[in-house]
Amino acid sequence: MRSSFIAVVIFGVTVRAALAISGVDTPPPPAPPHEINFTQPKETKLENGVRVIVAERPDLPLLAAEVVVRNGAEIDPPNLAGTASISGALLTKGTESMSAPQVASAIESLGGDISSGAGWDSSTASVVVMSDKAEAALTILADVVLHPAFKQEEIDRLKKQRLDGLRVALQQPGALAAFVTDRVVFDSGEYGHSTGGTIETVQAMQRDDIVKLYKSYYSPTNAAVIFVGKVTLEQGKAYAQKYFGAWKADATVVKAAPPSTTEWKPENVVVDMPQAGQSAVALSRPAIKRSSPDYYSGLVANAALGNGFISRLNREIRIKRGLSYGARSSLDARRDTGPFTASAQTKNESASEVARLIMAELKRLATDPVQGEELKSRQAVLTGGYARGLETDEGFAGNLASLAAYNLPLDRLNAFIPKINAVKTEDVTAFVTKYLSSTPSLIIVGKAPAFIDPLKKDFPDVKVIPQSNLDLNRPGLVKEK
Amino acid sequence: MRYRFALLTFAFVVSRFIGTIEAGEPAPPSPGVTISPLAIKHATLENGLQIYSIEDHKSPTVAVQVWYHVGSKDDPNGRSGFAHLFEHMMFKGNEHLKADTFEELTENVGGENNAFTAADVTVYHEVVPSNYLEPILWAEAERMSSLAINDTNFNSERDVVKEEYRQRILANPYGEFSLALEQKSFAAHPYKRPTIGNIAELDASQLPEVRAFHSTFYRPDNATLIVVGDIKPEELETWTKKYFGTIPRPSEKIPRVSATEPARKQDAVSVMYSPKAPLPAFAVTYLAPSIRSEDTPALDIADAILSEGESSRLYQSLVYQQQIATRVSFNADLREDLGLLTFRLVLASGKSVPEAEKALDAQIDNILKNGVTEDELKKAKNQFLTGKLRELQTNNGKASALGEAAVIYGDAERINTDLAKLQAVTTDQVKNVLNKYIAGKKRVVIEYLPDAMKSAAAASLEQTSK
Repeated sequence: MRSSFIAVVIFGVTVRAALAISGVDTPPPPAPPHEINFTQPKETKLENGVRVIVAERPDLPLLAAEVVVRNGAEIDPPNLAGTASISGALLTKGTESMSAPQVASAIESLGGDISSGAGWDSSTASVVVMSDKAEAALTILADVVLHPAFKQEEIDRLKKQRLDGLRVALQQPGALAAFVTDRVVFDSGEYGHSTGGTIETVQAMQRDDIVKLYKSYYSPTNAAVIFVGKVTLEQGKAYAQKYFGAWKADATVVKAAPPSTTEWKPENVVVDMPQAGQSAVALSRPAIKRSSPDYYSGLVANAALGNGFISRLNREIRIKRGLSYGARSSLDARRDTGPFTASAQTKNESASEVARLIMAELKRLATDPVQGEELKSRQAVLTGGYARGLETDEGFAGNLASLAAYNLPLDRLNAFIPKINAVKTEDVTAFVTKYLSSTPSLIIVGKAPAFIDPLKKDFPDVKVIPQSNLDLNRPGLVKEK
Repeated sequence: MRYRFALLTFAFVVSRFIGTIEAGEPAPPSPGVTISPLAIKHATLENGLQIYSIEDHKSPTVAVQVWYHVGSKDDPNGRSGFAHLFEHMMFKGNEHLKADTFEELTENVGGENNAFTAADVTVYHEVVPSNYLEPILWAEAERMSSLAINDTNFNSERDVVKEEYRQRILANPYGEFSLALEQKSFAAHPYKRPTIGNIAELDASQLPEVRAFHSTFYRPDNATLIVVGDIKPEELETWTKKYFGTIPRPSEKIPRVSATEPARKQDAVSVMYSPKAPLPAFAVTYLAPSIRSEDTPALDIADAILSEGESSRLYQSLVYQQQIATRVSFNADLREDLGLLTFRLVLASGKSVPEAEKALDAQIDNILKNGVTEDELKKAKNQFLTGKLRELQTNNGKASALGEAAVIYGDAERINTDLAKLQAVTTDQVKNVLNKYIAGKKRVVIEYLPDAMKSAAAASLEQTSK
C-alpha cells in the first residue's frame, strides 16, 4: 500500500544576480525547482498505551526501529548526574535472558547494530537492520527495553568505561567548555549538570538509583515505538503488538517538578587549562522551550548568526580573520527552556578577540536585521538540511522520535519547511529582541595567561578558575574548601 | 535474463558513450535481500576528464563530486600539509568565481558543499537541489581551469588551516599519537607525512607554490567527475561538454610518486610522552598491500571480525572480558600504493602497557594460528551488506562509493562487484591473508604515554644505573 504524500516546494530560492559577471563564462541560471515529498507517517496505539508510528519507505530493504521514552537526563536525581544516560546505555548490556556479549553478537550477526542511551528530554533504543531480519532484530530490541538485567558486573564495567571517557573529555577544551556552559547557564536547574555525569557522580551511582529511574520512566504509557523503512502500517502494528504488547507499567510516571528557576543572571567564567592546545570560547544563555511559538523564528535567527559556512559568525571569525576552523551557534529548544549558544575554538592568544567578535555579532542581530537574500538563504540552509536529515530511514525515525518525545503532532514533520519559509524579518528581529538582547554568559576554557589581560578590558568581572580547582558538580564551579 | 538475486550479479550497465559493459560471472544466491545494480554511465571528454553518473529521481537533489588524483603523498618537499592547504584555496575564486560562489550555489539554496584531502586524493563534493546542477557544474569547471589567489586571502586561509591543525591535533589529547602512526610506520614512502602537515611547513608555503600546484595537478586528465541523482543524461552530456570540455589538457606528464617502501628489516619501538594524555595508548603496525590487491576483500573481512562492533574479537577480549583497554581497534588502512594493518589501543585506568601488549599479542597469535569461524565470517558479510544498503540511501553516499571505486580502486565497476567479492571470501582466505602480512613480519610499535610515566621511567632508570 502506498502512503499518501504531501508535496512541498523547498528549493525556491534564486541565485543573486550579482553572480552574472560578464566574461567568457557567466554562471548559468538555475532551472525551475523540483518538488520534494516526504512520506506521511501514520500512527496507532496499543492497549497498554504504547504509541506506534510507522513511515513506509519501501525503496531499499532496510528497517529502522526506535523506541523512545519521554524522559532523559532532565530527571537525573540531584547529585547523580548521568543516571539516565547510564541506565539507557545499560539496556543493551544484558537482559534477563541474554548476556551483554549475547546481545551484541545476536544483533551484529544479523548485520545490524543496536544502540541505547539518553538525551536531555528523552531516552532511546534503536536498531537498523535488513528488513528480512526484522523479526529477529525486534525480538532483541524489545528484550533490551522490557527486560534489562542491570547486573552489578555490567554496571561496574560501564562505570569504569564512562570514567575513562570522562578523563579524556576533561582534557579537551571544547568538551570541558560544554560541561562548564551547562552549569553556568542553568546553575542548579534541571539542565545544569552534565548529561553523561561527572567523575564524582558516576562513582557515586548505585544499582538502586539506576533501577529506580528505569522503573519510574520506562513504561508503555510514556513510550512510542517507531518503524521506518520497508514496512507497512499493518506490519508495524503487528510487530508492535507482538513485541511490545506485553509491556506493563511498573509504576505511574511521576515527573519531579522542575526546580524553581530563579531569575537568570549572566556570569563570565574562564577555566585556566595550562596544557590547552587551543581555547574554546562560548557565549550562552537560556532561550526557549520546544513548544514555544517562537521556535521557527528562533531557528532562522540562529541560522543567520551561526549555521553554515557563510553565516555571520564564520564571515567575521573564519573568513575575514582566519581566527578559527569554524564558528557556530545553536538554539537547543527543550521541554523546558533550553540554551542558545555561540562558540568557536581558536589559538589561546586570540580567545579574547574571538569573545569580543561573537558578542558583537550577537548584538548586530538586533541592529542589522536579517532580511532579503540573507533571510532567504538561511531559510534554505534550514529546509535543505532538514530534507537531507530525512533521506535515511534512521534519520527519518530520529525526527519522528523527537516529535514523539515532545508530544508534538506528526504533521509537524511536513509542516517544518512551510513554517520556516513563512518566517519574516520582523519575526526574527522580535525573537532577537525578546530572547537574545540582554547580556549572555561568557565561558572560555584555555591557557588563561595568553588572553586574560585583554579579556578583562571587555569583561572586567570575569572569574578565573584554575582547572585543578574546578568542580563541575557545584553551582559556582569551585571546589569546596 | 535477469538474475533473481541482483545483489551478486550486478548486470551492468549501459553506457551511452562507451557501449555496454558485460555482466560479471553469475554468483550464488544472496541471503534474502536484493540490491539492484547501479546503472552507471561513463564518458571520457577529449581533454581526458572522466565522467561517471547515475540517474535516480527519488529525491529532487543531485550529488556532484570532483575527485582529483592528488593527495598529501604529493606534497612538495618541505611542504608537508600542502595538498590540504591547497584544497582550502580552491574556494577562494577566480576572475569569474567570487569567493562565496560555492556557498551561494549550495548552502544558500538549501544544498551543502565541502572537500577533503586524503593521502591519495582530494575530493570536492556538493549536494544541490537538482535545478542547480548546471550552475554547480559551471563553478567546478571554473575552479579546475584557473584560480586567482592573492596574498591577503592566501594568508588568511592559511591561518584557518593552522587553526584546523590546532583543533584536530593540539586540542585533542591523542592528536599527536595519530600523527605519529604514519610518521613512524613508513620509512620511505611519502605516506609518512601526515595529511594535516605541521605549522612550520604551512608557514613556509608561498603563493607561487599554490599556482604551480594547480597547474601541475588540477587538470582535466587528472580528475574524475561524479554526478548522482535527479538528472537528465542528455543535459548532463551537454553541460559537461560546454563547461569542462573547453579546459585544455596540458602536454606535461603528471608527476607521480615513485618512492617505494622497503620491507622492514627489524622491529621498532617509539616511545612518546604527552602532558595531555590521561591514559596510555599504543599502536602496532605492519605493512600491508595496495588497496588494489586481490587480498583486499579478505583483509576487509578480517577488519570487521577483529573490531567491528561490540561482538568483535578485540572488543570482547580486551575491553569486555579482560577490561584492559577502554578502546581498541584494528584497521586495514589500505591505500593506493600500499597500506598498514594497524592495531590501536587506549588502556583502561590502572593497567600497564606491557600487560596490554601481551594481551593484544595473544589475540593476534590466536587468529593467526586458529583463523576465524564460519559464524564470524557470516556476521561480517551481513555487516557489509547492511552497510552497503545504508550507503545507498543517499545520492551523496552513492557518489562517494562510485568515486572511490573509479579513482582509488581504478575501476568504477567495483561499486557493483565488491560486495560479491566480499561474499565469496572464505575462512581460510582470512587466516591466510593475516598470516601473509603479519606472521614473521616486522612490526612498529608506537607508545604514547602520560608525562607522569616519564618521570617514573627516569627514576627507575636512575635506580638501575646506580
